[in-house]
Amino acid sequence: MRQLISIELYKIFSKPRTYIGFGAIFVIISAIEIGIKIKGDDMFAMILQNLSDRFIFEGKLINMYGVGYVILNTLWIHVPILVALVTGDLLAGEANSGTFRIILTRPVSRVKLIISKFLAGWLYTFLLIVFMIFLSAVWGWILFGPGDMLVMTTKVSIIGSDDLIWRFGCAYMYGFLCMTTVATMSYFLSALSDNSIGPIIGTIALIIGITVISTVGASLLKPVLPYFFTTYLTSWQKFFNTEFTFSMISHDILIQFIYILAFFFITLFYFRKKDILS
Amino acid sequence: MRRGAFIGVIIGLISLWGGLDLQAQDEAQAILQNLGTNFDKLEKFQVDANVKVDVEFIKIKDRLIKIRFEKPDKFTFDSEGLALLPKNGMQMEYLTLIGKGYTSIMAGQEDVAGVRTKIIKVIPEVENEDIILAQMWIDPVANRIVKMKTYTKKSGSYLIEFSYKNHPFNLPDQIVVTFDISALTLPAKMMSEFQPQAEKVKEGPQQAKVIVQYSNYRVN
Repeated sequence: MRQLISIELYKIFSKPRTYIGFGAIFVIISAIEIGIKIKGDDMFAMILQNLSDRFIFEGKLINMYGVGYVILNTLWIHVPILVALVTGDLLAGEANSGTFRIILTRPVSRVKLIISKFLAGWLYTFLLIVFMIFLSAVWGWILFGPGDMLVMTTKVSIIGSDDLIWRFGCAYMYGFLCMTTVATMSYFLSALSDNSIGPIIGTIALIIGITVISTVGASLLKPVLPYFFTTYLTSWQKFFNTEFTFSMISHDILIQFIYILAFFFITLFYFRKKDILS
Repeated sequence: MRRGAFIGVIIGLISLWGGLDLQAQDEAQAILQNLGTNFDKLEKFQVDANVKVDVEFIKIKDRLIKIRFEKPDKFTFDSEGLALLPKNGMQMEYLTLIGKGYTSIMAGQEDVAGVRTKIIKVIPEVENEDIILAQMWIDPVANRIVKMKTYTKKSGSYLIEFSYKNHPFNLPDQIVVTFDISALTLPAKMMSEFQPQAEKVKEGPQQAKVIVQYSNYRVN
């Protein structure tokens, strides 16, 4: 099994498209960090204009945690695309190039192949998130340094720097869980298709489509919204609630796990019966 | 004859009223000058302050800050983390007002926390001053300000209540700043979703309260 995973990882990392994800993350994070360094004061002044009429903000308003929070917001915007770019190709790419026939003539079961390919794709997703954390932390440390973080939603929360590491850790872990759901969905679509363009575009279209429909037609779709995994993509923000308790996020985590397991087992069931000769 | 006496009485009353008014104005002036004189010997001081922000939609733990004052009115704040301070009330605005020229009106007296205070309204003469009117409750015996309400051009009105122990320069040990925040709007979720949708915090009047406790004064 370990050998199978290594082979799959080798396949993933020998394709140039894999590095598009890392390159895109490098460019986006660097642009955000440098942009905030140059124009951050104006941005925060605009956001805090109302409060500044009544309060004086004393201390470092822009710091590595604040910028890290802005970067985390991009997680559900562009990382699903980068994840789907690789996981959508895992099965469809093999079908497209006709290599399934060679692989499956060797003594490798379809179940093992599905599991190893999924784990390799999952590892790629993990590395992408780790790279994001690393880059965000290093850039943030060099350009801004640590400090208390101001979170502005319908309330204004100021969280001490000593209370932030665990929140970021949990938020990234939850983000990773969401990206695993995205990876599993595109993996499922990949099993259905013989061309990798379909699953990649399909995954992105589904995420964007459901999100847009849920936002625009929120009142219409209210009864079904709790069942879409996209509804919970931004739930990592709950970790930055000053009154956070685990019960606030447990339902969201459960939904993600249900989707991951459902997509994975449907893929497994489907691929075991799939005709690879045509 | 009668008519002449009547006019004489009227003129007398007007003169008496004018005299009393002038006397009251002089008294107000004297109280304010005494208040200012009290701080004349104060060159600089440094103090630790614990700031507690009590606003429904702001979640922040109490913050410890260092405050430095240098004559005539330079204040610097030094905070380890991010602190929220009221725009008015923490920089001894009354000294700035008294120092820059003003018109004062005696507006009566009132008992505040068991202390008989004189109420003086102060109108700054400097045009570009943010404070347009201040009402001060001054304890003329202890020569210190007990309460102050300021009306500003940009940020509404502030009520500042002072508490004292026995400090030689009459520096406060606690101030409570209360101000109105009903008109405040938050660009809700702007940081989290990049959607600049302004959202009213809460309908109806809402008050913000900031309690500042001073300790460890190091003067001059």
